[in-house]
Parts: sequence; C-alpha cells; structure tokens
Amino acid sequence: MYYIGIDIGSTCAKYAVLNEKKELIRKHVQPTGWSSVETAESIRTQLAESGIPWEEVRSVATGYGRVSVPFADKTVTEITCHGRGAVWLHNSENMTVIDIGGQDTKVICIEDGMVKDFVMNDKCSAGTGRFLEVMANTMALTPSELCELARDGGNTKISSMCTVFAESEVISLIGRGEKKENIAYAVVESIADKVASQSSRMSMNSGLVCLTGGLCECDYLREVLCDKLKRDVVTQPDDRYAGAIGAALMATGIRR
Amino acid sequence: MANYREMWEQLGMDLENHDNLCAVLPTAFGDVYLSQENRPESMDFWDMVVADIHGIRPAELIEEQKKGRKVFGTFCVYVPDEVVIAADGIVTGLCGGSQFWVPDGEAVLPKSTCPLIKASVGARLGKTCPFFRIADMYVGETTCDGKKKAWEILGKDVPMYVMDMPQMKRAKDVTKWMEEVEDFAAVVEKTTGKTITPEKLAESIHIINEKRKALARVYETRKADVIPISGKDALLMMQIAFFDDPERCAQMANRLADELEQRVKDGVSVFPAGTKRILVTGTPMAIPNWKLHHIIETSGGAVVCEETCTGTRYFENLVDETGTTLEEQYRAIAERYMGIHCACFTPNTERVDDILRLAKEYKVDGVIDVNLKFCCLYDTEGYVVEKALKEAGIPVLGIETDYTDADAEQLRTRIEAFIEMLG
Amino acid sequence: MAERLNYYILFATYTQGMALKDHLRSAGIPCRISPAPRSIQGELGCGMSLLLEEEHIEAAKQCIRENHAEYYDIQALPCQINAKRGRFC
Repeated sequence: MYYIGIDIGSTCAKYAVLNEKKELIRKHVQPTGWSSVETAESIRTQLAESGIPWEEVRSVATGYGRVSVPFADKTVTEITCHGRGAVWLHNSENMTVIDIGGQDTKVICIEDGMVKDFVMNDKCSAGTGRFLEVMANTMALTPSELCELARDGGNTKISSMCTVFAESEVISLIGRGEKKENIAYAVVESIADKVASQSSRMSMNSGLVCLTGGLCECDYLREVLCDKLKRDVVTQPDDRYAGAIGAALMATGIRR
Repeated sequence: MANYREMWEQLGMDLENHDNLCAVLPTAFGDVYLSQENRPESMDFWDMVVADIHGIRPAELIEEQKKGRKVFGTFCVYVPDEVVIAADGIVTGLCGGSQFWVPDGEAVLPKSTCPLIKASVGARLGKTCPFFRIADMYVGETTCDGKKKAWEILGKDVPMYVMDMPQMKRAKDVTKWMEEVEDFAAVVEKTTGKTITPEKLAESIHIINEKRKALARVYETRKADVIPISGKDALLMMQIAFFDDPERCAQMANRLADELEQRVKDGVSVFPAGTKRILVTGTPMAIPNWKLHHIIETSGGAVVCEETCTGTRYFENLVDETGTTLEEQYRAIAERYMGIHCACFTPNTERVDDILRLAKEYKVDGVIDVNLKFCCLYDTEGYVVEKALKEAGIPVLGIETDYTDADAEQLRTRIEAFIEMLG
Repeated sequence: MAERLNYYILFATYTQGMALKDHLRSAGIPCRISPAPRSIQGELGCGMSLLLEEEHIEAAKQCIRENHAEYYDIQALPCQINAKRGRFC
C-alpha cells in the first residue's frame, strides 16, 4: 500500500508518498499556477508515471486547493496536516508549529501528538508569504534573496501591517534612497512581529517550536523569530513538505 | 393581497433595486436550507414566511395599520415588547442581516461600523425593505456607540425614540431602566392613543412569556443526544420570531416543539452519529445571515445552541406575572430585561457563567465565539470568554466575520480544522 | 449523466400554495416550500413555490387534478441547490 498526501497551497503544490512502513519514498514541489485543478491532474500523472499502482493508493488532499483534487479519498485541513507532519518530522509529541504559508500563517499548538489549539491570520495577508513576495517583487529580489540581504540591514521600520500600505511604505523608502538591506530588514522584522503577535494569542507549551511551510528555508527569518519569541525555533529541509507528509499520514487511517 | 409589487410601490420602495435582492434570496435559501435532509415538517411555516418574506407579513402589518394600529420597529432584545402590545401596538424587528444593504449604509456611516448597523441604516435609506418603510416609529437604544450615532442619522428620516440603556447592573441601574421603560410606555401611549392599564399589561406580559416558553421548548429538544433539528432551522425560527405576531410565533414554535419531542423519543437525528456539537456565542445573526451556521453544518459540525440575541438571550427568563399595579409590572419587566447579559455591560461576568452553563446543558464538544466585524464590545469580551472556556477544558474558536462572501473559504478552513481538532 | 430537473409549482397566492402542499403531504408526495427562482417567477406577486423532484411530478399533477387544487404554473429547472457554493445574501 502507498499513502499519498497532496498539499495544494496558494503558491506551491507539494506531494509526499509513504510506503507501507511509513517511510517517505517520494516528495515533490511545484508552483500551483493559476489552476489548482490542472495542478492536481499533473500530480496524478506524475504519480501514475512513477509506477505506483493506483489501486494500492490511499490519498488525502489538503491545503487551500484541497477541494480541487477529485481523485483524493478524503480532504483534511492544512492545520491538522501540518500538525501531524511536524510531529512526524521532528519526532516530538508536544510542540508549537508555525507555518508561514502563501496566503495565511498558522500557529498550531500540539499536545500528545494532536492539535490542541491554533490561530490563523484573518483575511489580510500581513505576516504571510504573500507579504514577503509582494515586497520582494517591489525591490526586484526573490523572497530568499530578500531574507538573506536583511541580515546586513537595520534601523528601518515599516509601520503598516496592511500589505498594500506597506508596499507604498517600501516604495517611499526606496524613493528616499534608503539602503536595500535596511528595507529588507524592515520587511523581515514586520513579518516576524506579526507572527510573534499571533503566537502571543495562544499559550505555547514548553516543547519544540518549529517553522514549516515555504519560508522554512529562510534562515534569517528563523533567527529573527527566535529573537522575537525568545525561543529556539527549529526547522529542517523537509519542513516545507510537512502538510503533504501529514496528509499522507492521515491517509494511513483510511479504510475502504 | 394579490400583488405585492403594488404594495411595495405604495410604500415608496426602490423596486428596481429591491428586485436584485429578491433575485439572490431563492438561491441562498436553496443552498442553505433546501440542501438539508429530513427537516422537521413544521419548518413549512417558516419556509413559507421566507419565500414571501417581503410580502405576507408586511401585508398583514398594513392591514392592521388601516385599522388604526401603530407599528414600532425595534433593533434590540432590551426593548420591551410587552409595553407596545399593552397599548395595542405591534412590534417588528428591524435588524439588517444582508450584505445587500451595507453599501447604502456605508454611504452615510464610517466603513468601520458593524455590518448590522450599516445594513439596518442602508435598508431604510436605500428603500429596499418594506418593514423599514412600514414602521410608524423606530425605537433605538444606547447599547453601543455605533447605534447611538446611527439613530441620529435615521432620526432625520423617520420618527425615532431612543431608550437609554444602563451600562452597569447595580440595583440603581435596574431602577433607572424601570424609569426608562415607564418613559417609553408614555411615548407608546401617545403614539397609539391607547392607555396602558394593569389588565392590558398583564395580558401582554403573559403573551410574551408564552412566546418565550415556546421558543425555549424548541431549544430544550436540542439538548438531547439525537439532534432533532439543525442549527440553521432553529436560527430561522428565532430570526422570524422578531417579525411575527407573538401569539402565532408561540403557536408555531409549540407545534415544532411537539414534532421535535417526538423525534427525540423516536431517536430521529438530522445529523449522522458523531457529528460534533457546537455552541455558537456572540453577536446576533439577523435574517438572512445564515453564513456561519451553514459553514459549520457543512463542515462536520451541528449547532445545538446559540448564546446570542437571536438565541437564548431572546427568550431566557420570564417576566414575573404576579404584579397587579403598573409600578410592580414595570419593575418586573425591568428586572427581566436587565437579566439579559449583553457585552455592553460592565462587568458582565454573568455572560461567561451563562456560556459555561449552556456548554454543559447542551453537551457541546466545542464553542465558536463569533463577533461581527467592528463590534468592539463582543470582540473585547471574546478574550474573557475564550479564557474561561479554555480553563474549563472546552475547546473554543474565535471568529470575526461580516456579511460578505469573501471570507467563506477561509472560515471553512478554520472551522473544519477546529472540528477535526475535536477528534 | 443527464442533469436532474427540479419542478417548481408556482401560485398566485401563498394560500393556494399551502393548500396544495397539504394535499401533497396527505398523498405522501414529497415536496418542499421554496422561494420561486426569479427567472421563472415573472411578474407573479407571490414568491412561494413548491419544489418537487423529477420522479414525483406526475403523481403531483394527478393529485392536483383529484383535488382541483389551484396553481399558476409548473416550471422545470436544472437543480439549483449547491450547499458548497459559498454565496450568501
């Protein structure tokens, strides 16, 4: 039997395949593009071509495009899946998961391996991957370039939480001749502040704090988060697959 | 009345724009209500009322006005219906629950006003709701800042009377509220030309108590292990209770309760076993605001109780019927209404007690605390509510939303995740 | 698969509608009260209609004849109900 988790996020689509022993045997990430239906179809084709016999597959779809995966046996929200995935990846039953996704940011409290509580940002995209992306675009950088540049900056602040207003703030900073690294610093500070304030709405347990989702590879962001939360925030490369892995783990519970 | 269009025209309504509202209602009602299976047959009455929501009841009200009766439009569960009915007046709720009316409200109000107020003002000024046209007098109250200022704007367009709500619940505040009730009674008498006697007031107190008891009977059946009625259907009954004749409301609610009690005996549930039982607390849901209930009930949850103005706050506690003088009766009315625990009071710890009690009585798996965007009072009190629930070991999800469709998917993700969390 | 049809029985007044509903209920024919979709309501004043599934419409017509029930029109539409549409009013 193969257990497949498909995580259709707003920016990237991920999938993870576990074998009978719950070992991760395949993972993949691709841009979601404009159609989650087409993305789901392309994932199905890839899986079929990889030689996995479809009759031996149990699958769960998650992420904001989870309803666009008609072939999945079940849909589960990304909150439950990120929680499950992080528990598996970090081998820890009590932890806090911070998932900075393309259009939303979630702080998930895990106790005894289960989701105990969570907070998620409202409609607004402050403190999300989208916020970073918009600012990086304005500055003609990629999000990871922006994060690394930020390390050398300081002494600048973006006060607006709203992405649209913050973008005009960035533009006026550029206009004023502010150094690029200082602006980048302000952008990362702003994201970390927003995430920290979101976390403060929830009582975090004393366990591990881990960062999952697309931004887990931005090491400087992780460092700033450590600073703001006064906690050690850990991450590992597979953390961006936490949602997909969690979904695959959920698939192991499906009986037909 | 064969043709409601004629009636709407005579009411000075904007027919063209009203038509746009009429066009969306059938789809929304179909999606939300007719998609359900095995609904109680007694819901027929409320389905009929909604199908002709701007026809049947408005026509009745106009017939009564022709006989010389006056219609009072109210916006809050603190305004005592008993007083109006004792003077042969009619009460109709006037709260706007549709995004349709919001833009007309935003034309005169700050955007950062709660959608209920924006929709209510918009329904009047946009001339797209017959109830807002029919009412001879509006009765406002000073429960929140947004409303207080909105009354000043509405008061330029329609006769408006405002009751001054106390902000605390001390003995002297109850006495002050009793005086407010008496002042209101004088205004009602002047408007209707009828005198309120102890006999008439006793009768109207009884009528409204019977209505409360009938609504409470329906809620009582929702405490059972089998869930005989969906939260959406119960909400519809509550929403229409604000508009309907109180005796008919009681009669219909009792008929529904009969059917639901039988369902409980027969073990009939409208949800599969294991559906998570949810208590919704917070701000009112004026008709046709069915959004949150619908999302919950299509995400693996069942709403079994509402601690809102369109829920328990509307019917819990009765007015003492033993008073024989107007003074005793007004005191009894004031005491009953001051027992409603709205976030506009400080301190308001009794509301938290209510929520904990309801969570237990209705055997809920989790609580969803909802506040309408820009409602500072419920938003702030949400902190205390969530804290108390967490301490009691009851999972809680705080939601802030408005009447738009824009956050429907976001809400669905959060609510599904919350229900998954309940195991 | 052919799209399922829903039948809407329209009325001049809701009293006629409620009367037919009672007849249908006594005859055991499933029907639901629905606001008449705007596209078929036309200039009709009454907004109430009875919604029937395809398989019950013939029995309903029979019931109307037997009881000499009053109605205005019967119209068929592809099923309009979608619980996951996410559109509210």
